[in-house]
Amino acid sequence: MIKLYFKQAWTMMKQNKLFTSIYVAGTGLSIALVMTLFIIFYVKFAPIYPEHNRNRTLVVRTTKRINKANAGNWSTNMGTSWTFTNKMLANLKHAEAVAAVIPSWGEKKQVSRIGGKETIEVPHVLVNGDFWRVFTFDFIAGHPFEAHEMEAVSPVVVISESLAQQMFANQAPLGEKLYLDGREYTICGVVKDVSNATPVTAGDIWIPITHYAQAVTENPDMGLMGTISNYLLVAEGSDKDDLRAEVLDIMNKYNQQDKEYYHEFFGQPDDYWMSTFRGGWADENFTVWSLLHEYIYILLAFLIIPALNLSGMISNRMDSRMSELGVRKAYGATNGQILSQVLWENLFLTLAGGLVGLLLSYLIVETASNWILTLFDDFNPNRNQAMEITFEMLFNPVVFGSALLFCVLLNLISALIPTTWALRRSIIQSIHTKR
Amino acid sequence: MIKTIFKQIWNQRRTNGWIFLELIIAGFFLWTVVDPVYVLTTRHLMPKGYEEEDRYILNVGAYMPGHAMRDTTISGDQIKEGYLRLARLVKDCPEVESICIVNNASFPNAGSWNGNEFYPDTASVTADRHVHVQHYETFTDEGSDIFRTYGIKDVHTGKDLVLPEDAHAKVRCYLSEHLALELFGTTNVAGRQVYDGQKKGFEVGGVFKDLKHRDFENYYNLSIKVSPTVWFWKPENLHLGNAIIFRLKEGVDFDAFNTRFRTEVAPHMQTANFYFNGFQPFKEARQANAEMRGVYNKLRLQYSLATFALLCIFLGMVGTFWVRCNARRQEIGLMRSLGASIGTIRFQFYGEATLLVSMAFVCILPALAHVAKVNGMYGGSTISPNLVENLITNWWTESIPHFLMVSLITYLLLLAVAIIGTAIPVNRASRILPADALRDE
Repeated sequence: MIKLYFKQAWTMMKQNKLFTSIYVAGTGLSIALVMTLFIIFYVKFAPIYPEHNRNRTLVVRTTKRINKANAGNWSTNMGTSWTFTNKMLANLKHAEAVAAVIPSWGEKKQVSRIGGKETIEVPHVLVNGDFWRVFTFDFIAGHPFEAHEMEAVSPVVVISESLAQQMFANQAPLGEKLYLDGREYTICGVVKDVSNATPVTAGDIWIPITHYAQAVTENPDMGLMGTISNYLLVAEGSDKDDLRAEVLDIMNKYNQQDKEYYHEFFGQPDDYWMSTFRGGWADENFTVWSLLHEYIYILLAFLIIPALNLSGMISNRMDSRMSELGVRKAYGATNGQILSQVLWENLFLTLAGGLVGLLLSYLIVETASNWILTLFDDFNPNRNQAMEITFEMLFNPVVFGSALLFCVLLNLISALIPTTWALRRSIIQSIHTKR
Repeated sequence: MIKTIFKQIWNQRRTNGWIFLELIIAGFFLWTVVDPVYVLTTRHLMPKGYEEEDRYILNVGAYMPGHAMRDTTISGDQIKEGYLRLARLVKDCPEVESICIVNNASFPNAGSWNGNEFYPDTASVTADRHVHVQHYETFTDEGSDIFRTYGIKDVHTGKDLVLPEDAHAKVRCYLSEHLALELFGTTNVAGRQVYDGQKKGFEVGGVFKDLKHRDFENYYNLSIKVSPTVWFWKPENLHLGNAIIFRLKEGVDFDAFNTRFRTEVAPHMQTANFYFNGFQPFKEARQANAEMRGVYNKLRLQYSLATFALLCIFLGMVGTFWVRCNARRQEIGLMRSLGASIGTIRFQFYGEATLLVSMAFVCILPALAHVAKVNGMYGGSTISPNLVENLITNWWTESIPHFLMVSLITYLLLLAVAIIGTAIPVNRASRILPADALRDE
């Protein structure tokens, strides 16, 4: 039966080219924008290289330090101190690893080969030993630096494949030395390139955080505030709530012990997806709803406005097919059968539009890749960085499944009401419309 | 004619119902999308208060502690002398009109932002007569002249402000037009005293036309302090705390200057641990700042959403009027055979489209007014939230003119797209020959 419906839909498509074109264009537009939105957030939230553990990760970043005697005296930072990561979050029962990261945020450092005159400016990331356990980098050669190497401030770095190519085109980079900030470092590992679409981990060179005294030196005026972002990997057998409760307990104890200052963490540790919405500053009004309502509004507009468009067109078409429906009813077809037929026919058109839309969304994401992934960000420090869109970001079951789901949803929203209205007419009225 | 058009709309109410509903929802959505575009665009179009053409930032690099190239024997005084040498090298280039040395928060679109409180007299320091100001600081070393270099205009003469001859010997403050009016109620304040939050007094050197620190922002009260000599609390970071800005002479080709500079001048800039690290045009700094603060992202998003809403309306109008024109072929044929011109027929259909859009828009206006009243209109800003209230507002961003302007723009956009969408099927239908149209009658 469904095959017959599709056959009929195909014939009608050929007969009503204008209707088909407008219907497919309307659907395509809606699906293209919904899918673009979806891809943006998929890249932000979903487990992709080298952040495959996003679903098992909690994040602590923003802190605010408030004077207990005078609440008006406060300061805030986008990160935490080394003490917070290295002492307070050490030995967590429910965490497998705690990564400390100071991302490059678009800043670059000059590197050069020993004895070489040419310097290259590259984005750098400062990390601790656990970073390599929380994030799943593919090592093409060598290995990450270990926690003890970081603590010993060993001059070792991990570099990206493209930097290795650029600096040591014809020789194996492992064990080679390079100059960075005038210091000599040995390359201990080479990893597959990371797209700037994952701004926390993106870079060309990963340096032990202990090399930067400013980042790891305790500053009594700053308390737990600092520049470090913490990524906590939930241990196997534990869940996020266990880990969250454990961290909150540590924070509360610290706040009770500190007589002068109180540290506000704004509900952190966050789930990874939620942490991507925190801008550069402390926001006391940061809630799920405060960030979701704008996206829901846009998503609804992407669905409802084209759906009304399509409903109008379907309504017109139902008028022209009224006598056909009357005849079918006269020969015993039920309203349910006719409704199902119209929905299947329209689904065929909607799927065609959905395919066009999906391809269009790929085109949008590819051509605007340098800015589209940060479209919703208020703070965009990685501006103008080439964002490589990888295969796994676009071609995956979640994206295809969502496209199909939106097609079905759009089809239902747009076809259900006009068809139901048309079917309310009696057989006589329906057949009579032909005259 | 209008009566006929109303009658037609009523007769076709079932078909019109869908497009009417779409116009209402898309119109509402479009209004919320146009609002930020209107605000950001009007801010962008406001005079900058400085010139952008031929102005450049000199990027100074330095070998930091631990760097192999760093000379650890250099003293603080030598570092300062080295920094001034950089400024001198730029100033002495024949292509350069003027230079200025400023602190790193004191040029348009700088990453940093310094502020202070100003008072018109000492008696009011503890009272409410303070005004929060953004604060630029510049120095007079090496003939540094911020007004000439930026092209900052005297509010009275409209020409570049001129530094007095004794500028190197006395600290003065220059006030923006709005700041002078807020503090003193007049712009004739040269020679008077202003005081900062620490009761420190400065002579007012003059008043300049309002200057916009960031593109896509309103003006903020601005003061420019002209001090004798450059400083920074950590001499080795003199290049991070300050900036050297220069202006090229009119007609100088930047690319040629850049090439010559890099080969002939830049090697001499390797001094006191400093080195030449490139130029950045003012225009590029403005764009980079807007990009980093998400303004371009906001505009891209709004333009995309507006395009989406308008495309939907376009498709809706094409679809609706195509069907309608086909259904009314006979009527069109009859009208043509009775002497109606093509223009008359088109006018009737355009009238239907205009009335549909207008009625839909009238329906959404109360809802929009309610939303504007309850949620407020767009007021997004890139400066710190606790400073936003100090931004200087304009009549076009006051509630009622703002609402009316956004509504008017939305209405005109809706109408234009609806007419274009209608024109395609109507033009086709109106050209039909009466004999062809009446064949089915």
